[in-house]
Parts: sequence; structure tokens; C-alpha cells
Amino acid sequence: MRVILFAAFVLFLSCASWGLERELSYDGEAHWNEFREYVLQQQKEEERKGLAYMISGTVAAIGGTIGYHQSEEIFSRTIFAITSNVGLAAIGLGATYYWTGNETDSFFYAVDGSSLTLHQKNELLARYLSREREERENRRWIRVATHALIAAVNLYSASQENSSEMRSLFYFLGGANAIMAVSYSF
Amino acid sequence: MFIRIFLLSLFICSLAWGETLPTAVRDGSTRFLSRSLGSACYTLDSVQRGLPCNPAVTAKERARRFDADFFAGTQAEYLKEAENLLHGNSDEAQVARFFSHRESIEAEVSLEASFQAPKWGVSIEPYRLVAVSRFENPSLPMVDLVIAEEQSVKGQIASYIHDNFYAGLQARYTHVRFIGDYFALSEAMAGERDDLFSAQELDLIYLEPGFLYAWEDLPWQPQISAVLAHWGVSSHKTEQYPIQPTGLLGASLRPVVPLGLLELGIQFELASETRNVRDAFRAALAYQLGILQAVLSVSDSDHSAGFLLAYKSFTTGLSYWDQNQNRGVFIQLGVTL
Repeated sequence: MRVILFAAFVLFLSCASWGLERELSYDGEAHWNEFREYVLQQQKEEERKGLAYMISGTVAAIGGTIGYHQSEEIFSRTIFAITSNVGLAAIGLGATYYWTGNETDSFFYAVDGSSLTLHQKNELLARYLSREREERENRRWIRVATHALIAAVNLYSASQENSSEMRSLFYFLGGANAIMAVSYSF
Repeated sequence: MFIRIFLLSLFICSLAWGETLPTAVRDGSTRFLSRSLGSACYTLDSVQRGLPCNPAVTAKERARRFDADFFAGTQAEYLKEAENLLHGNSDEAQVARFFSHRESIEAEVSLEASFQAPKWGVSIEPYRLVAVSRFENPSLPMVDLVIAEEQSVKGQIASYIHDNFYAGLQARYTHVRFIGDYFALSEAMAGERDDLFSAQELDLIYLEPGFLYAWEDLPWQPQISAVLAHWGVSSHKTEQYPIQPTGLLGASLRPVVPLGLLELGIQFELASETRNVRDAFRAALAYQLGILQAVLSVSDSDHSAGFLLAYKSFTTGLSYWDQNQNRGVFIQLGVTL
């Protein structure tokens, strides 16, 4: 059981850094009016998401606190404690979604309010999107390399390990990271 | 005394079989889904952990997703003792401690990783431990016990067929090492312990087709599903892991609500152990808002309630399950990428 919890913890850690980004998901052409529509739509979506996060975060924070005090055994108490804390964090994240923008918004408002012509805006947008896509591609391959490396190290450790319990753990971590590396590679 | 022993021997001889593992425990679905939604997970697809229960749903997926899940019952000490018993690492005192839990218990722990892409998905579950015990007759305690350690691999493929109709197929391979028997508690404490707890190995292969008719363009997105589950072969016949195909028919819809996503469903499950129509029906509900997803499932014999909390890439959850004398609390920890 402890080995499994350790495996889960290591897997969480190996994935922790990837969950923090709000990536630009615009895949259309570099036409300013289309991009404008996309950004405004995204902002509405993020406001809605922010509201849902704040409401559900409040429910989780209150429910988690009540559940923590009501339950008696350690696993349930742990999950309720996590729920309560994550609920509070989600309220903050929801507020961020609702009231603040992201880098794309900053770029959008800077260009949209400028005196540039539509042609110039399109050109600027093309450069911005090209740079964004390049960075997104780099991030993707860094993830592939990271997970492939973790997979290789764990599979090697598994091949060298005598304890069957630890060997299973290493094979699981190796296999899970190999699947992640493959999933990011296309 | 002699009469008592004689009657006990007769009783044991007449009932000398091991418990068949409940269908829900033999189910190949991702553990949180099958424990929280029961068979309704074959129709409700708004709760997403691991591969969908109905393989045809894979054809509806638009994005790729990687999930790693740890799912465990809260009876950690019981599971640890069960694992020792399965591996023959228990001495007399440990066996006595294991059977001091004079209650019916259904416990499990599982670790699973899955990857899903549009139209296909794969999943590995390198470790799953299941322990099911039932006590009868307090004056002369009889125990029905199954302890099993499983390793599973499954794959799903699915495709759009025609006009809102999807079809899919799940192939599942499970290797099981288990002990299972029905015996008097006094036997477990006596010298026959080694015979009672000698482990068997079993290989199971299942092919489980699923179908889905989904009106995704309608506001409430109704859908009808049909699945043939547990259809397969085993390396040899056992009472604990019988090959009993189960037919599942279900319907669900997503009523429009001002905020969040609500899904309601009803499931009809027909297996050889289904004794009357009332046993076959199950109703379920799932509601998602922001980071929270609540699930509720009710049938005539059991009910369960649970929640998932998904924050960024991480998921935690709890599931409460109750069936006659059995009840359990299960925790879920997961990563989604």
C-alpha cells in the first residue's frame, strides 16, 4: 500500500509543472477580426468558468471543512482536508479567471486600441501567433523529452531491482511516463 | 460435541464453494466510475476518469487525455492483512487478526494509467487488490472469502457508424492470483490453513462490444446505450470469476441548467444473477460545476454517492457505497494531462 501511495505521489510530482499554464488555443488564420471574435468569446468563457470555480470552490471549502470534522477515519479526513484547501485555492483561481486577463488579452487590447491599420494588425498578429506556436511546440517537445527520460530511468531501475514490489512500482512509473511521452509526441 | 462436529462437517460439505465475486468487482471499468455510478457508467459519460465504461463513447471524444488514478478503500489495514494472506506471509496470529474483523467487507485498492485519443484508448492496471469477505452464523462462524490480486490491460476502439450511431469494442486481459473458499472459521485457525489459503492463478480475456445512439445536436443531448459486458474466456473454470455475459441497456440526458452540467440516466442490467426486474434497474445523476463533480447512483440493492474535485491537473475524490450489510468509503487520487 505504501509503495502504491509513493508511486502516486511521484507521478503527481512528475506531472506537477504541466498543469499551471493557460495556453493560447487559437488555431485560426492571422485575421484580426476573427482573432478579435475569438478573444472576446474566450473572455466570456473565462468569466463563466471563473464564476463556476468561485461557487464550486466555496462549496468545496465549506463541505470539506464540515466533512473533515464529521468523518472519523484518516483517509476520509485527509481527502476532506485536501478538498477544503483546494476549494479555497479554486476561489482564488476563479477570481483570476473572472477579473484578470492573460498575456493574450494584454496583446489584444494593446493592438486593438492602437491606431494601426487592419493590414498592420494582421501582420502583427501573424508574427505573434507564429511565435506562440513555436513556443507551444517547444514546450510540447520538452514534455516529451522529460517524460521519456523519466520512463527510461524507471525502466532501467526496474530491470536492476530485486524486490518484486519495487520492480512493479518502477515498471508502473516507467510505463505511465512512456504513455505520457507518446501522448505528447503527436 | 460429536454431533456438533458432524453437523458442521455436513454443513461445510453441502456448501463447499467460494463466493462469486460481485459483478461490480469483476467489472473492467475504471474503479471510481464503477464504484460511484455502478452499471450506470455505461450510459452516463459526463464523469471522465480513465477509459469510458462503454467503448462506443470513445468515438465521441474530441481530445486526447492521459489519466493516472489511485483508488482505494479506506480499510487499509484489512487490505494489508489480506495481501499477506494471499502471499502466504501470515502466521497464526496474523490469520487470527484478519478474521477478527467479524463483518462483511468489500475492499479494494487499484492503480491505473490510461490514455485516450479520439476513437481509441489503452489502459494498464498493474496492481489491483480485492478482498471480499462475508460472515454467517455467529454461533458457528462460516466465512465466504475471496482475496485477489489482478493485473489488467485493456484497449478500446470505436467509430462513428451512421446518423448519431457509434459502435466500439473493448478487449481486456486480466491475470489473477487469488484465494477463495467457503469455510468454518475454526478451520482457518487450525492446521488446514495452508490448504485453505493456497493461491490459484487465472487468465481472463474479455471482448466487450458497446453501442451508442447519441442526439448531440438536441438541447438535452439524449442518448441510448447498449453494451455486452463480461463476455469472454478464462484459462479454467472457477466459482469466483465465472464467465457470465451481462447485457446493459441505458438512457441518459443532460437537462439544460443555468450553470454547470447535469446528466441523468437510467440503466437496465441483465445478468444470470438477476432474479427480478427490480434488481435490474439503476438510476444515476451527475452534476458538474467548476472544480466539483457530484455523482449519485441508486438501485434496489445498493446506493452510492461521491464527488470528484478536479483542480488544474489533479483530481481527488471520495465515494460512499452501501449494499445491505456491506458499506465502504473509497478515496480517489488522480492526474489528468
